Amino acid sequence: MPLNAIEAQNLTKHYRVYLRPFDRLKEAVMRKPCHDLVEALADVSFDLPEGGTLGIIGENGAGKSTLLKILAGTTRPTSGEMVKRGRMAALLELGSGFHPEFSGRQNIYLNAALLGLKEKEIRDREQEIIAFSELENAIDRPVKTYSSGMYVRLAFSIATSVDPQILIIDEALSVGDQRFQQKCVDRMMNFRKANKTLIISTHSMYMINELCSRTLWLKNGRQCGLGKTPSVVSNYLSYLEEGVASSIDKPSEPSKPAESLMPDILIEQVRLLDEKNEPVVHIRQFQTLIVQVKTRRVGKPILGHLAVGIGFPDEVQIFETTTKMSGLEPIVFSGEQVIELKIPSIPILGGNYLVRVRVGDEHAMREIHRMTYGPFLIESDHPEIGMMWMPHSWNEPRAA
Amino acid sequence: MNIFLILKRWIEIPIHYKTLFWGFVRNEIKGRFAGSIGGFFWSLVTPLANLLIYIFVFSIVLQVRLKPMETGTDSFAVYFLTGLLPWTAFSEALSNATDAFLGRANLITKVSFPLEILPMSGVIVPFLLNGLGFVMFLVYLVLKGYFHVAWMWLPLVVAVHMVFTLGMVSLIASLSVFLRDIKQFIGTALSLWFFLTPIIYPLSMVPEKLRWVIKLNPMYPFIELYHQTLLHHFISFEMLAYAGSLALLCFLGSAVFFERSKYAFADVL
Repeated sequence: MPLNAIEAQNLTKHYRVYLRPFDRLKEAVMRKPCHDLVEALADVSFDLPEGGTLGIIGENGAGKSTLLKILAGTTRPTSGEMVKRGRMAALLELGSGFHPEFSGRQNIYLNAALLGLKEKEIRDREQEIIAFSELENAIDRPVKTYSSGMYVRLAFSIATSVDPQILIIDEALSVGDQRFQQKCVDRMMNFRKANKTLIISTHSMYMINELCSRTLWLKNGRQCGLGKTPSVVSNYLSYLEEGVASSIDKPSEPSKPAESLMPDILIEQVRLLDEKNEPVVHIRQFQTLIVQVKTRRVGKPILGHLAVGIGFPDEVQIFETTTKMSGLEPIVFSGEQVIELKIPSIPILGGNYLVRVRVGDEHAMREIHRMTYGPFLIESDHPEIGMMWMPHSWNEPRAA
Repeated sequence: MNIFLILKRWIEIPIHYKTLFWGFVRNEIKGRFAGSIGGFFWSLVTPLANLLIYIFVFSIVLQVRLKPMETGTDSFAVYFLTGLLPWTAFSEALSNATDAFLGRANLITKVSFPLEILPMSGVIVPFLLNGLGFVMFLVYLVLKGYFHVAWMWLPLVVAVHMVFTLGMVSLIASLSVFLRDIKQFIGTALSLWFFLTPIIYPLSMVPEKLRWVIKLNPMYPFIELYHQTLLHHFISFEMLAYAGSLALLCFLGSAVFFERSKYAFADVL
């Protein structure tokens, strides 16, 4: 039986809210309460074994960040107990602690030191951090010149290179391009494989499904569900669905929490299958390939189109088709559905490719949700160069 | 709350978190010159220029003379600088202290690290930067023939002075989190305090009836110790004991206050 990396018992956090700063002083001097009490977290308990992965979901203001702050140790719970074992790195906000005037390289040193590394350890990891962040060309520029994506890449590279036993990430990966996000997910997968403990709070159900074996659902600071990810996530999604339904009933209600959190149509999963409907690992040129897309529509059925494309990891598309281009009627999205695109023979030459799936509205104009699968490898026996293999033959040389 | 445990923590932190501690110090110093072409060069030029200006104005132009019996020197510039340089380090540390936690709200609420490092680096940095000017001044004193074995007490005097500064900085830094008014008020308080400390005038010039006011000033023994070692070439152990206990008391009091309030920082910031 493995030890628990984190044991949380009845964590509760109250914030005292003072209308004016002066009230705080008044309370301290007069010993008379002058504040409103806000309950940010109430009675949250869970155990996380070493190597466990926990996702934290919930609407905005449900207490996710408060819980993560308590776990990371930047704030103390008002009551309740927490035990943690092992070095912990927390990414509550990417790039907090960066000094804008300093170069990326200088910031690596201070930031890694903040996370608890020694000078020598940082020096050993410097190259790897820079390589992962892909900032080789910008690393000696002041970080104030960085784009937000570059900021995030550097911060994530530092935090994960610390090699913590416990890694806490708060909504960190919503920035950065798709490809880097995939890289981060891969790195976190490796974390899991290395038996490290991972806690993620996110609005991305895809990431939760992908990374977390267990999920905690917070609602108004209370524990609303804790258990295996698929069941908690599906409860949460149906709760959001109710929220949408009830907000349609009462149009006067200004806040529709679910809308901001979820696209109208969600691509839940993309899989590659062979002609026997088995998931493929090694794809060979000219084999049959089926791109299977699992979607979920929360709320009333709506119309839409699906696009599936194959391309290089660097955004260059080789081929893309949509249900509209193929002359199909708009798909009626309702509940969970599986849509498949069959390519009888895939002519692309060997290499690494991505499948990009997008779902759009009924006119195939507005993108609603997208997901990228891969990179995956296509193996080819053909020595030719380029993107795809074309049928060809040489005519005998003859005098012109 | 065990006071020895707190003390142990303050001593251990700069050792255990050596990289972080010196990282903060280095960044703070580099941060001041970031973007300027001259960079570190300015931290040498500024004190040197100040030194020369004071010597020029007071010793060459105005020719202010003091009684060597009372001050250990007849040059006003020498007397003034002996007190001014330690004071500058002290007052810089204090006026930066209001921002030690307040200015790093983002860091404190998002990253868990020993907060004691912030006031510590907040003391080291002004002492290092002003130390350059102080060393130049010492060189000037040596050239003028002021050197004496009594100078060996100087490191001890500086150390006691730094402990006192650390106490004040930690107190002001943690208080500022709750009382933002301190930031507005610290500048005025410091200039008042400056004129109540015998830096720009020797104690002997203060009417005897009023001297107790000056002597009550907690900064008085520290400045006086600098005057004694550098100019009078002796050290009064009573004064040293007084300054030492004042420094220790101030530091321990602040450390206890800090220990009690630090868990609220992240909530208030």
